[in-house]
Amino acid sequence: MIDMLRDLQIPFLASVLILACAAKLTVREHDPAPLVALHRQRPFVYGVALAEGVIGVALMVTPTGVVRAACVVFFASATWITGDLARRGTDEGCGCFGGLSAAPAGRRGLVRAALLTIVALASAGVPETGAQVLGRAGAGAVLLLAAETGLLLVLSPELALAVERTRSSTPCELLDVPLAETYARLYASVAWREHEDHVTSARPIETWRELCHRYVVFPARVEGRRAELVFAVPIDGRRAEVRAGLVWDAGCEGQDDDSGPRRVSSPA
Amino acid sequence: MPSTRDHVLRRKRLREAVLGERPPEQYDAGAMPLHGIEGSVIEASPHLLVLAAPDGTELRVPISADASIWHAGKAGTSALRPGRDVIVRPTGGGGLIAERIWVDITRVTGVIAGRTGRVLEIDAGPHRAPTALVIPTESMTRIQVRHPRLEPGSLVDVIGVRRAGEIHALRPATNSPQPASHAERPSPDRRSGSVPRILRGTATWYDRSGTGAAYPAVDPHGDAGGCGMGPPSPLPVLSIASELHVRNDCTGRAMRVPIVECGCVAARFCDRCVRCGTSPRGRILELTRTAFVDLGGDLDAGCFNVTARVDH
Repeated sequence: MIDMLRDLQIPFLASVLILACAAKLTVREHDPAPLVALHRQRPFVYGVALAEGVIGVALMVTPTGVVRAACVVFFASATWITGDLARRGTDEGCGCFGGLSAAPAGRRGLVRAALLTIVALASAGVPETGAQVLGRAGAGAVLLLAAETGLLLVLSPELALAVERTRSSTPCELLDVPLAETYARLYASVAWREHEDHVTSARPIETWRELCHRYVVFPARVEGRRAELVFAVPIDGRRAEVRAGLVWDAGCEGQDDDSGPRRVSSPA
Repeated sequence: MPSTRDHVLRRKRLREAVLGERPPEQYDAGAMPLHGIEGSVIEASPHLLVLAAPDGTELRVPISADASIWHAGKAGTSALRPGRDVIVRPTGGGGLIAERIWVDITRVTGVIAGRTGRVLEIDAGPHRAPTALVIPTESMTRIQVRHPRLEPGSLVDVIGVRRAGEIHALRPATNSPQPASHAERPSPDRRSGSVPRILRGTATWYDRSGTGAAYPAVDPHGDAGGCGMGPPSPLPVLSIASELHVRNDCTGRAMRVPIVECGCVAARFCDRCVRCGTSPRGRILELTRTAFVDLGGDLDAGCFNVTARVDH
């Protein structure tokens, strides 16, 4: 029984990797800005998707140790990245399943990645290929695979997001969102971390809402000049990211020709 | 406190700094708005009206030969007595020749908070002062056609006239009885998860000078200016100093109107305007009286059908 369970992990891991590859190639995130982190840039994402696909297919057709080791390293890396995102409290998703993984990385995603790493490690010594394991699988094996898939889905934040997207009928223009929620989203954002050193007061000087964005304005000092930092925080927080902009203080002495609105960050 | 214009420009500048400038949308701009004039009468003759504008300047407004004057109904130039409050709608030729003049017109919209005989205490919402409304005997029957229950808690909306420091109700400002069927809610597009940015419905007016509008769905949090009262509105949430492109569907005149107040009282009315066809939904805007006149509205008629577009 234990052996069967261990053997079944090979096709299970292969299917997870192939699914992740397909999701990355088909469900895109918004176009990332040029200065965004490497792991969000499209060539990198496609490269990871290709690696996943190759490892997934290789698990099905070959029992080579290199492939098993690559599988373990791959899931261990995913665990480390998800853990780092969750520890920093960022609003970034892990991108594990492409655009479906847009929700901020959290404990559930971390547990999922850690479990997959353990499974990959435990099944590294299985002598058969994934195809051979499936070929001799009976009804009990199918039930076990189904239970394991169910557990994976429960641990997947992507499922909750997909359900929310299909069930939610309140458009963001109509949502009543308290300020506390906006601040929580702002302080967890990449845009805030990039610019918080310029902010000179913890209290915003102005907050207002238009349609699907709430604007939060802080006094700031940039290169010795007074300015205002404006953050546009999405109301529903599903996919869009917090954006920041800089406006020089109109009364600032020494203002030169490059004054005026300047967009300093506009992540996708 | 910055002026409305400064407020609008500041928020536009901040918004563009973060989201970038957006190209102006292509749509039917509509006919040019008029330039309504308000002030108090200094002196008047059959052909010339001299006014003191709210900023203290003196304005000389020629009166056209076929000008219509309203003072509790159709009136003559004798109604233009010094000290009276007037609002003038010029002819559409681009000049300042008066075509319609309303004298001491006012409108009371709100919830009856109390009643003593023929005097009603009206709660006009958190942004407006409570008003004492006198209902003269001759107006009572007319008003009760639309507002049969003049009791505390009931909604009321009447056109009135200022007389000796009191507000006298003349007739109901609404065209359908209250309560009526609920305003039509736009069905949100489930695929895109958004609400229409083009709003079609009824615009009324309220007694405030300057150009602007009270909008029912103003965000109640932060500095957005909302009052958080009234039923939830199926309109997209905006803030004070957000701008709408408003077109009077009856005259075709259009202009940009800033939101200057929370229209939480308007959100409680479920009536429709029937000025030029029945408006497709209830009140979506309360325009200041100048904005209402600029778009070609008749203050004594009370409403017109509008198409309002949220640009951003």
